[in-house]
Amino acid sequence: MSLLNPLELDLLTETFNIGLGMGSAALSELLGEEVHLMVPAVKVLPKRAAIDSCAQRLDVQAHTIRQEFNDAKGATALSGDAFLFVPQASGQVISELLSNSEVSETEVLSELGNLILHACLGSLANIMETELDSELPEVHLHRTSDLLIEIARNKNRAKSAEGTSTAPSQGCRRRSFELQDKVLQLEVKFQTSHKDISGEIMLFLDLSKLSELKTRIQDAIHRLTVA
Amino acid sequence: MDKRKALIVDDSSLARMMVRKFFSESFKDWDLLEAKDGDDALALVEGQTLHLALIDFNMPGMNGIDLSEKLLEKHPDLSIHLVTANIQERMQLRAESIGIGFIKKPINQEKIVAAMQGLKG
Repeated sequence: MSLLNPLELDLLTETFNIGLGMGSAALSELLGEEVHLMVPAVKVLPKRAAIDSCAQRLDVQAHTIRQEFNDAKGATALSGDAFLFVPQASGQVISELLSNSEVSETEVLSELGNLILHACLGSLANIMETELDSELPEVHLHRTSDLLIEIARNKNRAKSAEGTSTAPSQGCRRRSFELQDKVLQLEVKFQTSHKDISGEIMLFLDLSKLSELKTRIQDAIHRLTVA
Repeated sequence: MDKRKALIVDDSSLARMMVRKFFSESFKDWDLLEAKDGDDALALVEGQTLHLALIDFNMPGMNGIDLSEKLLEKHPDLSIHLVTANIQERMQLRAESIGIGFIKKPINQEKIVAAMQGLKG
């Protein structure tokens, strides 16, 4: 089965874009600064390659805010993780701007993640006409690529446990694991005009239920583009 | 009577398809030109008389504000609207400062009708 075609990727990118627009507007109001968004990049690649490319780009001392999500209605096969990466120096500037001594940097970053990542996930849920369950944002200070590896390993262990308990055929199990290894990565960098604040937003969309996902994406495309 | 011409500039083919859908459903007396980026748009409109332009802001290469300024140099009567997911107040003010409109994504038929009501000339 082919992975996502250009138009399907386009829908997801545009959806991400719309969510980013709302999230960056909220961030801009919070910081009192214009937030410049770079052009988003979208790729389908093995999860390991996605993590490796993050490891090359991201400072190991940066902070990660993670928002796991999945389709509450179970209809669209949407599941994955949304991340906000904030360099250590930016985290300090944001914290000084927004908090007093009673609010920790972790709480400030959690709220930031809440604003931006929920905007992206909200946009995804709207366009796919579903509801996404998401956990409270987790803040991991001074952790990036090692955290991504840990998350991927934990998810693989959980999937392996599911696979052995239902005992699919050998060929079927190999095929589903191969798809699980691929992920859709949507990412965008941002920075503010004057204060030294920058970061990166990234969405990993799980492709293990690809056929259901493609069906819903195609439904959305049809709704939006056919007269 | 000659059809009026509109231009949509967006790197997203999906976004262009959505606009095409609205025009084919509701604005049959318009011709719609499509471009995927600023350079493509400038080449496409050479020698054309345009009435309306809907331009994405965040595109590879030239952004929508820069493209709008270049278009206004050659087509001063062109009614231009920035169509963007980037809904920050500062972005809206920048659009206003160069005399162009601002439409929040996702675009819909009502927003296009509103943009057409402000046509110059």
